Amino acid sequence: MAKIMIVDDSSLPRKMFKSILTETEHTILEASGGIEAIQLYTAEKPDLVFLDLVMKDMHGLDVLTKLREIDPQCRVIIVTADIQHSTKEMAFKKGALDYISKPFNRDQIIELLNRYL
Amino acid sequence: MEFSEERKDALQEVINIAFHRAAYSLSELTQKRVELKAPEVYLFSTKGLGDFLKNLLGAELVMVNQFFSGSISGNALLIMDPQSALTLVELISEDRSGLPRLDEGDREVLLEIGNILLNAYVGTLGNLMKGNIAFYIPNIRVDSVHAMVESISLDGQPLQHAVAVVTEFVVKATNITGCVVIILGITSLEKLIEVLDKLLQDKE
Repeated sequence: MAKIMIVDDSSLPRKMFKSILTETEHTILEASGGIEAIQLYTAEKPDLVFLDLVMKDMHGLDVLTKLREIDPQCRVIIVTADIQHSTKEMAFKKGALDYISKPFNRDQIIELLNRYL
Repeated sequence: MEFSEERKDALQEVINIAFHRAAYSLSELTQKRVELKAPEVYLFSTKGLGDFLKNLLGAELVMVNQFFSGSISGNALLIMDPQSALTLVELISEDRSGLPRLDEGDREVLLEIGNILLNAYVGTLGNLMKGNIAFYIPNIRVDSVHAMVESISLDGQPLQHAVAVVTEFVVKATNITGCVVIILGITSLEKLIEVLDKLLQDKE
């Protein structure tokens, strides 16, 4: 059983994640912004993070940089509406494990869990 | 800036590709088929845009807008009539309150839908331009069409004239209709046209 953190400032994707993840036995942690995500990561050290990019308090790429300063081994998957190749490249350069575009579906998330946990 | 039929054609094709990516996202969210009309490019005054939207969607509208900047800069707008917006939320959000008007939770759902569609649309333009476009936090507004159009800004200035690329969509088997409008300044339009010219040259 793993700890999975979902970071998104919109409650809709967090709800969608929860409805998928409740099928599994993993523990779900939620953060509604970048600052909360950094605090929660420090306290809980989740095994996998799903991270949005455009958020009100911090951009996801800055959150990713911060998380990797705290824990260079942190495992972060970017989940964003931004479909640009250049943004994807930036995310991988900053150490993202994977990158998926919204809207996501159940099979995609389960496949990512199987691959990275 | 010359806007030949060939360039207009190329712009419509590029927009068509971009909006099909957005329509795919909307279709995935709603699990319904989404049909598009051919995109149109207009040069509008503020009043002209208001009259156009009123004629298309009615006197009261729901608008999610998102500024973007980078390879091109502008303001992307997802616009629907309130009933379409409500139906769209009902399709996606299983636990909505049932109120006959949009509540705070509904607005949050619409913001996320707008974020997904507008990013898919403008992001495809970014990919075609081989650059990067940064997106800002989306905003939502429910208002009369003319108050809404008055609120639209570009580069921090109220809109006076703008190039608007308008794509209408229909979610099949529902009563949802709406449109996406991309407002571009002249500089961004010129940049987009440079890319189109290059695409046209590559075709030759």
